[in-house]
Amino acid sequence: MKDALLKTLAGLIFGFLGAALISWIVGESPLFVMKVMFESAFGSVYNFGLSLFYATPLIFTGLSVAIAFHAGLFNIGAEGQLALGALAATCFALWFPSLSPWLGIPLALLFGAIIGGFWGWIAGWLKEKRGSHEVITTIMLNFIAAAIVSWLVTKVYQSPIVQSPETAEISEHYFIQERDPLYQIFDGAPISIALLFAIGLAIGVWVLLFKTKLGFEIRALGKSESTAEVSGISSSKVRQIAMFLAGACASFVSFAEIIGSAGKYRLGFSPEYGFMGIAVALLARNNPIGILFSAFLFGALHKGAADLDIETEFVTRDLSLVIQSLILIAVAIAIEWKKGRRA
Amino acid sequence: MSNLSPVIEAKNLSKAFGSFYANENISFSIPKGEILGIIGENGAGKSTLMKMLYGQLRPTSGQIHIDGKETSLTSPRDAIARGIGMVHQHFMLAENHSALENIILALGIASFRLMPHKSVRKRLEKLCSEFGISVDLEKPVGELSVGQQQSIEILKLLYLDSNLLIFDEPTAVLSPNEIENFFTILRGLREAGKTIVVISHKLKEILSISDRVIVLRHGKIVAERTTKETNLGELADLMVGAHFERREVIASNLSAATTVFEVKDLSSIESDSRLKKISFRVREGEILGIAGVEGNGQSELIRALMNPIKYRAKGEITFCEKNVSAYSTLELRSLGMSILPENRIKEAVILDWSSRDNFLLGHQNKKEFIKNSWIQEQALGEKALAAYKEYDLRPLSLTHHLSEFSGGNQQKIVVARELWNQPKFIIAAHPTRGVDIGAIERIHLAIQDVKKQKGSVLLISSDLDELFRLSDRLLVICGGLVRGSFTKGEFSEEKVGRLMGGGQT
Ligand SMILES: Nc1ncnc2c1ncn2[C@@H]1O[C@H](COP(=O)(O)OP(=O)(O)OP(=O)(O)O)[C@@H](O)[C@H]1O
Ligand SMILES: [Mg+2]
Repeated sequence: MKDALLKTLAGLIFGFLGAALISWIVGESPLFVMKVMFESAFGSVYNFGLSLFYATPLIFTGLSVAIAFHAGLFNIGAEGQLALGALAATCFALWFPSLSPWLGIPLALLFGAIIGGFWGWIAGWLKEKRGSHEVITTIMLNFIAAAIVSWLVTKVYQSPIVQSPETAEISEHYFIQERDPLYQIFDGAPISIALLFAIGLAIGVWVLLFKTKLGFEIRALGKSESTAEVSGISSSKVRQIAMFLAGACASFVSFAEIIGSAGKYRLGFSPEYGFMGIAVALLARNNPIGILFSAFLFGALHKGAADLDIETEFVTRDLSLVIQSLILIAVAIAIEWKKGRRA
Repeated sequence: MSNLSPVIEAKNLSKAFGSFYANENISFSIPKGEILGIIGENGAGKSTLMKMLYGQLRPTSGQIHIDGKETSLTSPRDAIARGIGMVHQHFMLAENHSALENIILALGIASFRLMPHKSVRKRLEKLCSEFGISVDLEKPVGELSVGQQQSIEILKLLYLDSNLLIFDEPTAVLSPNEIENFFTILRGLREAGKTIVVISHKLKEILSISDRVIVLRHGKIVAERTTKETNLGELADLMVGAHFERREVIASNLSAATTVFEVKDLSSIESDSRLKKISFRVREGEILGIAGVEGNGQSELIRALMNPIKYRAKGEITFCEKNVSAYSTLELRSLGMSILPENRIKEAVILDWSSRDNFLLGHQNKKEFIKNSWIQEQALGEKALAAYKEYDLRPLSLTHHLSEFSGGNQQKIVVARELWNQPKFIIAAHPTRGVDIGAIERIHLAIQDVKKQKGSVLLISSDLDELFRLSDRLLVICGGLVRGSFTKGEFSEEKVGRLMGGGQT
């Protein structure tokens, strides 16, 4: 653990050195670029809140990818799972607008989790029934989910009062932003208690994986299917459960993005959180607690780089993405660094 | 022979893992054209020593001299370039590829030139005829017998012009016939001036094949003998470090015992039909041995018995008076079945888990270890430790990853786990493969304990000594058929051997 932190730190240092070099090459003062990035990510309570806000959905999708990974499955489908799951949660809120928040929100999340989980489960089931590889099926399921969601949003739940493809707003029984304690603490950054839920979920997933029988079976399957089988672990059952849980985790993005901030489902609200979740999980080596940190790193870098375009003369939006990625790659290399490893 | 200059010389070699020394100050030399045997208990450091000679592990201190020059080997590639080749305890072949492709793959390590299949094949065929090796170069390796897979490993080394060939427990997985074949090849290699190192736990084999023997104990060389001047008893004592004796095994009295496990007319569904109407019963307190040359249906039989629902076969399987022909492994295990599978690395362990977590495999439904789906870590640790202690696991640790244990100690872990808490019925495939003579005694005793507690055992082994010693009854299978059946007292190497080879009694 301490080792991982030190390595991350080393990676950050090298990454920022690289970022400084790039800034210098394009004719920007490296120090100024660093300053902009730092202030943009941590400079004020509001800015810090935004960094956390960006991190929250990545925790959910990172956990989704990680659970599947532990079962030996590569879940490329978090994007589709979160789209359908989030829309389901939104629909629930639209169907039952007057439930009390204490009942409505958990039920909406639960409904979203069931739908998102179902979408994940399909890939597990197909692998079982037809032997189809989950990478292919989850990618295909992403396309199908995108089509379903866009049809539902534009044709069925389209808000009558706006032109853009989005649903009507959920009632204030669900959209509790004004009363959200985190929203108030962070000076009105769109952060919400979804962050606390995400942290709790990460701990829960860790406990599930490392302390319970199901987690043991998931990890055994992921490490060696033949050994799991001889040990009496049903690979088919465990695989389907793992994919369901993965889809459910992804669906909770709705808590941060819809219940917590937007108050409605906007088509294309996710800037590929599902795919970024893969990087988040890999950087954390699929450790649920590590995912909290790696998601935060992604969030803070995203926020930090976002302002470079506006604040500096030469660092364009594209270049800010380069800088962001460079730092992440440096961290990824540092974390996997082993002493004396040769080619 | 020993007046020739040494091909390789180790000087004060040591290897430490953390604070633990797996090898300490080891010095020896091997002259050209010698077959050197290396023996020692599980965990004595044999594989570690060889991996250093092969550039796979770097010595903590000490030097390796090749052809008189000090050399530092930083990778197997280095070693191969200097004419050193090694066949590991577990073969490293890509099973879906043919022998030819596997060898070309291996060449990729040594050189990046493109190699046309044709010229490779030509040279391989020449090597085959030169050293009397016969192997199908086209078939996927996974379909070949272990003996042939080993021939491929040897061909690989010969193709790479290895002058020093290291074999880590080459005979553990071979049948008696294959062993004879293998030794013939080795002698041919020696004639051709190759130098050979063989690690084995089977002292008889070491006596018949080697010119000289080195005995390792606790990471140090404790003795060195010219093979002609030593004998089995002395080697055993040297290895263990005390006087070693085998115990007598007593047959059980079974006239009235009930049947625990029964198989009727078991046949494969596939057209290649690897199993042909196999029938047998195992009674309470009985050990039923199954003898046969590997690849004659044993693997298919084991699979069909331990996971009938997945590997469906025609026929009927009864266990504890229930028809279990469509049961899953989980259901069978809940009824009290235990399984020591053939391939422990692939089917019985998870290499990057701790020895403690590995103990839970197969027991994950027992209430001693899981309560309301929570893993009882305390109980798991205590029970695992007690079980491992009984088998003298070294190191006696719950936190070491399985990959940090020596081959034989990994096997002890699996045996300790599967025999834990007296199974009602155990399918034991090669239970002592790769373990030292002391551990063989312990495992044999444990298997007899199962019997004393009225458990039953189906023992599948390619080691006739083991089968004769433990079995109450013995079936011989060949080509998927039961060719003959013997009861204790009637076992004879000659008769059984003939049936195994497909002949008649
Ligand atoms: N990677 C490792 N990390 C820590 N300890 C190790 C590692 N590899 C081997 N060891 C330890 O070194 C010792 C020697 O192991 P080695 O594999 O050389 O034994 P061996 O003589 O080949 O035994 P066997 O007959 O069981 O194959 C053992 O105690 C083992 O636990
Ligand atoms: Mg070994």
